Amino acid sequence: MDLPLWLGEMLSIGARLGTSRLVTLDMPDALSERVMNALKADPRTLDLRALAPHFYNLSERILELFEEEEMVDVLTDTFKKRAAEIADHAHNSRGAVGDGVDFLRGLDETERQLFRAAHDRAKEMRIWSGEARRK
Amino acid sequence: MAFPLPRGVTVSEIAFLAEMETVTVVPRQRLEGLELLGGPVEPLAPPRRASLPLWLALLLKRQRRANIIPPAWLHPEPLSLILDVESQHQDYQNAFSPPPPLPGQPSVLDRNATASAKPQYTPDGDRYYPAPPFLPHNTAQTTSSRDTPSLPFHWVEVGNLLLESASDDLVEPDQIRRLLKDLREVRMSKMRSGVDVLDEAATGGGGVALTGVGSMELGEERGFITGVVDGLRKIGASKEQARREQMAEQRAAGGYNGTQEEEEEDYMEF
Repeated sequence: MDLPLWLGEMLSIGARLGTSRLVTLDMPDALSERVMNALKADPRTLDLRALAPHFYNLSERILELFEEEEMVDVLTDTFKKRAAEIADHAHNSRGAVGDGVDFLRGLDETERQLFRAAHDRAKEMRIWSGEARRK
Repeated sequence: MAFPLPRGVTVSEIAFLAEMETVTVVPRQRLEGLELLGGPVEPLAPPRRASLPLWLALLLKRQRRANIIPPAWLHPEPLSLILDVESQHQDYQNAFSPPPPLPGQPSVLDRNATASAKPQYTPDGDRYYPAPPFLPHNTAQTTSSRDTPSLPFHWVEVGNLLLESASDDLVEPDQIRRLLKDLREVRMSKMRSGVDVLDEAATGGGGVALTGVGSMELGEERGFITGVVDGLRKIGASKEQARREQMAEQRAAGGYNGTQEEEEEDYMEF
C-alpha cells in the first residue's frame, strides 16, 4: 500500500516504540536496488527528477529510517560527481544549450538550487567585468 | 524565498570593497590633502608619487588629473610566471599560488623563519592586524628582488578596474588581459575539481585548501561550495550519527581508562 512519507514514518515509529506493529516500510522505488546499481555505474546519466523531484530530500528522510551504510556512500559519490558536472554547466556562458540540456533536465530540486546559485553568480560576474551586456 | 538577495556578498559589493586598496599615482595637478572618512589623503604635488585609495585614483585618472602606476604584479612577466606556477608546477597542481606574505610573515622561501606580526592599534587603543584592502599589495613600491610575484587578495577586481579605466598606464594591456583571463580559468577549474575532495571535509578529516584564493573568486564560488557541502552533510547525516553512537558505545565500554584518555584529548583541543 502506498502512503505519504510522513504518515508511513509516524506509523513505523509507533511500531518501533513497541506498541502494535502497524506497518513495515519498504524502500521506495526511487531508491531501489536497481537505481543504486545504475548510480554506481554512472551517476551522470540518470534522470533523478523522473525518479523523484526531491530525490535527495527523500533519501535523507529514508536514510534516517533505514541503516544503509552503502547507500550513503553511493549517494554521496553521486552527489559529488553530479555537483562537479553542474558547476561546469553553470559556468558555461551560453547557459543550457546543446548536450547539457538532457542532464540539466534530470536534476532534482537540491541540484537545481545549486545550479542556480552557481549560474547566477557567474552571470553577475560577467556583467560586472563587462563581458556580457546588462539586461 | 522571502529574502530575494543571494547569500553572501554580491559581486558589486566585492568590487566596492576592493576600491579601498591603495595604489600609487603620479599626479598631474596639485591637490591639497583631503580628510576623508577612510583616513587622510596626502597632498598631491605633480612630480611626486603619492598613494591613494583606488576609487580616488580612478576618479582622478578619468578626469585626466593623474596617472596610475600599475602595481608590481600587474605586469606581463610576473603574471605569466604565476600562470606557469599555477598550471605547470608540480606542487601547485591542486593548490593555488601562494598569496603575498602578510606583514611580519616570513616569505615562502625561508620556512625556518618564524612569523613576527606586529599588531597595530586603532585610535581607541584596540589591537588589530591589518588585512587586505589595508595592506600595500597594490602600490608600485619596489618589492625586494627575491620576493616571488604573487596575486593579492583583490587581484581580480583591481586588475579589471585598472584594465577598464587606466589601460594606457599599463604595460601591454592586451597581454595582461589575456593572462588574467587564463589565470582565472586555471584557478576556477582547480576550485571545481576541489569538489571531489569536499566529502572528507564534510565528514571531518580532509578539506580543500583555499589559501591564496582572491575575494572575487571566493564570492563567486561561495553559493555553490556551501551548497555542495550542505548537501553532502545532509546525505551523510545518518552515517555520521551512527558513527557517533558507535563512539559513545566504545567510550562506555572502555571503562574508566578510556574515558580519562578521551577527556584529556578533549582538553587538548581547547
